[in-house]
Formats: sequence, structure tokens, C-alpha cells
Amino acid sequence: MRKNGMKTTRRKFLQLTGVAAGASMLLGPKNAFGVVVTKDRSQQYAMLHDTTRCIGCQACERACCEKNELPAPGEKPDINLERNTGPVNLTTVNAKATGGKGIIFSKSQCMHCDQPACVSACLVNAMYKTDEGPVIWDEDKCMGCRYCMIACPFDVPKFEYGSINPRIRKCIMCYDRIQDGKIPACAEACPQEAILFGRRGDLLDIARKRIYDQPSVYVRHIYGENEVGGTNMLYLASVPFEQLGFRTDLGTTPYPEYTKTFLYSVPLALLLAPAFMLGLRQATKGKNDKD
Amino acid sequence: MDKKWEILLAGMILGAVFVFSSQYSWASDLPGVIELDTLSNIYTGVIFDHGMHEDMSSCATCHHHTTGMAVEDAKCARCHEASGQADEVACSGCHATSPGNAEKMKASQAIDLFHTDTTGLKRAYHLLCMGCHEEMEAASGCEDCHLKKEIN
Repeated sequence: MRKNGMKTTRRKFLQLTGVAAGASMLLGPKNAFGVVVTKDRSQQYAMLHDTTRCIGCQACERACCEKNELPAPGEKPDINLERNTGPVNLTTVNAKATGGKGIIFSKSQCMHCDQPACVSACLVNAMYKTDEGPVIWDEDKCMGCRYCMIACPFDVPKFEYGSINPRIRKCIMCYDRIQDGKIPACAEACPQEAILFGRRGDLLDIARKRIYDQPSVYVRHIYGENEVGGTNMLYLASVPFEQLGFRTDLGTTPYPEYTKTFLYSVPLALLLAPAFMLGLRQATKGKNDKD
Repeated sequence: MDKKWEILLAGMILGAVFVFSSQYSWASDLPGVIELDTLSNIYTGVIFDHGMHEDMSSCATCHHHTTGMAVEDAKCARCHEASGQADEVACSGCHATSPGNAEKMKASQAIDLFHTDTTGLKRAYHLLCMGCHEEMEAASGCEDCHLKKEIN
């Protein structure tokens, strides 16, 4: 009697576990632990900002404001001023005093990550990465939770706090202009060609060639090539990037990876935990117990 | 006697015209005054007086090796010492008018192996002009040439 009961219990336990594992496999076989999905990003649109060429003229900012119908930038880049991007200035140029190379200007805007933290944080799937490269969002879907603002390691998405009907604002790499066959307004306006727009693969080639041709001018680091798993905004500089105020502590792991394991284990735990408890209950059940 | 001198003088003038006109066959195509207004949505156009600059320097100072005049830059001279006048003398013949576009830049350089990473027109202007302008204390600040337009 006891032996018989034990046999049934184990089978039941294994059956339930099998069902749970099968269900979780069906939910996301591609996202299973340890599987790295690699895809070719070389044909995506991207921009290369060569900070050695930037003269801080703010033509990019003005062109951006003109295109997005925002007021013209007021203050100028200054080494004593940190000009953050905001709802009315989607791109800003900042000046940094460096030791050996004097004052260096650099432009900041959305980095258009390959695996964006903002996209994974968006509750309503309003924010998304386009196949072409730019990270954009659906204004009709956005509910204004501002999770994207908190998730972004580059502090990019901004909220129109001053507005009655506030929206999220950030650089969209002029996705609308790209679709019209034009290049982003900032790249078009730059008098120094410090901003180059093109395919990510081409831009990486150009960046590597510049480093190879002028090793005394550039540091051997293309910012954005591998940062947070790679971004569609690439940078070249003559000094280590931390001197320009860039975050160099972000690592090369895409941000969604950090939460994927946890998020994936939620449905798994929901299925497995009851099955396990049920099995335990069956195994320890006395013969007079009733279910 | 008078007739003879007249014919000789006329001949000399005619000869001179022939000689010079063959050398400067493109003389009539010189641009004169140009307005550079590609960014007229945010800045006022820039007036460039080509004629005034002709009087200041040799053509080769700006046009590298394309006018057929003596090449000034030693780097250009290595290959173009005796190149003669190029088919395309205008800046926009080599420097792309669509700067910031990597694809067009790559396409324009695909057949021309030695001129890699050629700057676009706008950057070429700035690189070329700023040196002399600063030296001669001519306009060299951003807003000396580019007056900001009211936007939004």
C-alpha cells in the first residue's frame, strides 16, 4: 500500500514538473538562459561624432531646434557649465577642459542603443527600436510613467514637466527625415563634418581608419561600439572618454540582460512552485488524509 | 608707313588676345559673387566674392592642383606637379555638397584611392578660409559670416 502510493506520487510529481517546464519552454525558448542572439547591425543607420573636429558652434543644436520647432538654444557651451539635454533641447554641446588637448567639445543626445533599457522598461511597449536603427516611441501608446527616464543609463528621455499635456521628448535621429531620404538635421548643419550619418558598419570602418591613419590624434576607443552592448551613436576622441564626461563605467552588457533572467523566471516560478508544493503534499500525505 | 604700324599693332593685340584667351579659356566662367545659402533655414546666407579673392592670391592657393597653375602644396605636387587643368575646377567637383552622409562620401571615394576621407564642401571651406582669414585679420568669428536667423 505504502509502496504503491509512493510510485503514483513520483509519477504525478514528474508529470507536473514536465508540464511546467514544457510551458515555460513554449513561452520563450529563444530567451532561455545563456542563449545569445546575435544579429548583423552593420546596415542599421547610425551617427559618428568626431569630437576632435567639433568647434562648439552649436549649428547642430540650432538645426535640431528648427527641425523640432523648439526655441533656439540660449546659453553657449562653457567649461563651467553642464548643459543637459531636456524637453526643449534634444541635443546639447558641452565643453570640457582637458589636460593635454585643451578645450574639447562634444555633443550629447540619445545614443540609440542596440538593446535599449528604455524599451525594456516601457510598460506599454510604446518605446521601440526600429529595424533601421533609431529608437523611437508611439506617442499614442505612451502613458507618461517615465520609467524610460529612470532606465536610461545615459539620462536621455525627458518629460515636459511644464506642460499641461506633458509628453516624453528625446532625439529620434530624425527618423522622419531619414524616411524622406534626408540625413538628420544636426549632421546636415555641421560645418566641420564632425557628425557623420550613415550605416553603422561604414561608420565603424571610417572611425577605425581615422584611428589607424592618425594614431597621435585619436585614442584607440570608439565609444558606442561595445558600450551597453553597442549603440548606434559612435564617438571618436583625442583623450580618454571619461575626461569628456562620458560614462565609462557602463560595461558592455546590454541593460535588458540584467533583468531578463529575473523576468524570465517569474512565469517559471509561477508554474513550478505550485507543482513542487503539490508534489511535496502528495509525497508526505498520510493514508487517512483527504485532498 | 602709318598703315604698317597700325597693322603691326593690331596684329600684336590680336596675338595677345589669342595667347591669353587660350590660357584662360575658362575666364568667362569665373563665378564672380556667390551666395552660400545651404543653411538658410537657420543662418543668413554668406556672400563670397570670388573676384576679390582672385586679386589676393594665386588660383592654386585654394584650388590645389586643378587650375593647371603651379602647384603650391608639396603634398599635391608629388602626383600633380604636371597634371594640367582638371576637368572639374569648382570646389564641389571633389568636395561633396552633401556633408555628413557617409554613404555618399564612400561612393565618391571608391574610385579615387589616394584621396580618402575627403572632407565635404562646407568643412573644406572652413579649413581653407579660416587660416588666411585669421592671418589677415579678416572675419573669422562664427557670427562674422553667419548671422543667426530667428527660429520658432
